[in-house]
Amino acid sequence: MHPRRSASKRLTTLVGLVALTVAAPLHAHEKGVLTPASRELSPGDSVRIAGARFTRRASLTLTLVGVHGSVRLGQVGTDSAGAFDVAVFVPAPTAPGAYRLVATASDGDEVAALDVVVSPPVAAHTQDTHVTAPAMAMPTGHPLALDQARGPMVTGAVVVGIVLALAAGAGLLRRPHPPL
Amino acid sequence: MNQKPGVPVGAAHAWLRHRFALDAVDYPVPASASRLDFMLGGLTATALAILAVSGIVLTQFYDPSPLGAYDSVVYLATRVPATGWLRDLHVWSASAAVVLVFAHLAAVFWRGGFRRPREGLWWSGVLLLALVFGMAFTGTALRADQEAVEAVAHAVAGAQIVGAPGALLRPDFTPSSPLLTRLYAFHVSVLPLAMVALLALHLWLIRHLGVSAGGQAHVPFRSHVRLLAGFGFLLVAVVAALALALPAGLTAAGVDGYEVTKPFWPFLWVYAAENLLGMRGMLLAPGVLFGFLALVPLVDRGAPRTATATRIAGVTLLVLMIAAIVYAALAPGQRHLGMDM
Repeated sequence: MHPRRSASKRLTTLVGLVALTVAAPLHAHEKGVLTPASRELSPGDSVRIAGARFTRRASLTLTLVGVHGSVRLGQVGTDSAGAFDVAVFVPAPTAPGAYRLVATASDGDEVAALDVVVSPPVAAHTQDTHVTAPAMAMPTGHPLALDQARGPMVTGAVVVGIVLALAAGAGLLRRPHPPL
Repeated sequence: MNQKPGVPVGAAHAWLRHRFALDAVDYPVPASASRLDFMLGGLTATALAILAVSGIVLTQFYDPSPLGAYDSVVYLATRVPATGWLRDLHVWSASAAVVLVFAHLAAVFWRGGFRRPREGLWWSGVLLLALVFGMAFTGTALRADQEAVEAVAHAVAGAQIVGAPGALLRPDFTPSSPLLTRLYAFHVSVLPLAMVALLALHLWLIRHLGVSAGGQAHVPFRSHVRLLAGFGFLLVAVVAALALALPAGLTAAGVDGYEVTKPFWPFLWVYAAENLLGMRGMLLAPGVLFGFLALVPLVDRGAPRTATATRIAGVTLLVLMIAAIVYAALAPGQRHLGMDM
């Protein structure tokens, strides 16, 4: 076979394989759309969530994913049109903050996601409309004792970086001036 | 081919020199320009570069919404292996940038580098100093902790005093975007873009007006750059080590209506002015500093008596600032906004 033709064939095969590899997971599940009744969720309250354009008659898990961790809201099944409409309960201990409402298929693939907010619990109202600061610890100016996630690998890499930077700096400063 | 001694010979090197006009940085500068006091501007730029790189990584983990900001800072500081250290590096680099920009300013001031024809160079530097303060303030606000909430409350109070020019800092500027999110936009786009533009002007003027070092120009500029790179690496090592040894603080989640913290140290001189003069001090102290810096090239044109008076005034101002920072750091906290303590 002509070498150029052979190379071209190999390239075509490679491109085809890459395309298949990339395309295969994309078609594993239909990507759907989530539409909650409100994007501001309240802990201890329920919210209606509608879904559409998912795989027909599939089982999906709805989860809130945020920096505080994941909160499983429940499991839903899609109908013959790939849609659902359910009311899920947001557990009372859910920490306020920004979350992603994620729908995952039974094999763990994420098939839809939406940014939502879990609002802080509403302070108990009194007859007096002037509500003072919510019941929380008095703020202080003292820094928190943060438990850093830095492991020995990160510390070691930083120390190596520092040593290299010192060596590079010293090396550059010790070289004589080149003439103009 | 006429190769200069000391320059590595190689096709790739020659290609780079030719295609990227690297010979243009071989212009002569005085030997005294290689002293450390002429490197301070370049070292400030190095600190800003560290800030830019670490900041780009941190933005991937930061949530600029008021409800998610604090949690995302705690998350990146405690749950992701390297971002905690990167945040510490970011904060220490900010401190380094403030110290270096002031040292640079003081060195240029002392040698009269603001005089004709370098007035534009000086004024662009003064504006860069203002932008460094702007970055430090917006960066503090993004933490959304108690110190941040109080810093923003002070800025909002100041914005109310100045009226229309402070409109952007008012929470009621628009109901569509929270103040924190707008401060984030300033921190990551508006201020850095302004800084790059001013830095480009600053470097352009240095190239065309020359450095203010005395003596015959016979040292190639690339030699100056090489020394600057050497000091730059040492700076990287120092801030990286500080970030490793002394992590940046974070107070509890911010609660409006309390004054229990002091500001980030570069603002302590303003805090001291507030202690002495109330909220007017917050505007007066920066007004005096930046007013002095802006007027210096117009007042001091090199006449001996004026030059001496300007030097005395500048040194007095710097000593007062340092004294005010020390005083504010040691003095007990005070209420400036009439909030609870």
